[in-house]
Amino acid sequence: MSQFDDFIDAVKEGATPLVSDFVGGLRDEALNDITSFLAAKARDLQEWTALLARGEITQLEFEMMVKGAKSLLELRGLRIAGVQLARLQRLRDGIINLVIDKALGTFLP
Amino acid sequence: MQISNRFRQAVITLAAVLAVACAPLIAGYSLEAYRYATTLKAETLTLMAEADEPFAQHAEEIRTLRTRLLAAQEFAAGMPMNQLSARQWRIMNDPDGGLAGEFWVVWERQGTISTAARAVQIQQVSSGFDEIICLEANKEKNTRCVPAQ
Repeated sequence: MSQFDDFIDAVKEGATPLVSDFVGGLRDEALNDITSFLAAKARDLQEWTALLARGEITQLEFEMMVKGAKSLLELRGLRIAGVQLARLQRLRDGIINLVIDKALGTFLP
Repeated sequence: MQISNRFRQAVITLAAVLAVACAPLIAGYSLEAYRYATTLKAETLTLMAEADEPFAQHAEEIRTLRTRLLAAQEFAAGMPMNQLSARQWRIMNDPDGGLAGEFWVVWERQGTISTAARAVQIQQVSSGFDEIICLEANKEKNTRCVPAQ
């Protein structure tokens, strides 16, 4: 086995936990997050409509609450996107560091 | 000589690839941004809880807090590769966005905010801040910080 094969094997071995940490369940996690949020907000909307009907909140307040729910969904989407970008960046940095470490360990005496 | 040239080319190529690969995808964690968000969350929710009292009674406090919230928004917008956090702050402060920015507007227009609306909006604005804080925390390390609901 050549030095280069040793290097590739070492990188593959080191990259496996990095990649599984990033990929494992990420899509499901994001989907579950948004789905449960929407379900909760659907229940809220029913309650708010009842509050408005009973005169416990004003029309202006009701509109603010509904817009707030929409904005929260947007904030959540931005957070999910940002968290995934941050994870991707850590994965990339981890792989680059791994390649450099293994290259130094394999090719330098 | 030929080997030496090929080696040099390989080193240059590797260096170029690494340089491109190292460009950040998202701004790094900022302790200052994190502190802004956590402190402003507490201050905002505290003031919102007093919206059963006339707006005029709190006008000065509200003006000061709004300025601080806008400063946090500008701080986020000024950091490179920080568009997602900056957009979150814009939404929080939007006078037509249903969160903190609109709460002050409705309070001023109505004079007070009803008990039910106050409770709902405190919950929603709190969750909004949690999203901002959670994104900032995750720039440093993987952190589960926002409940599914």
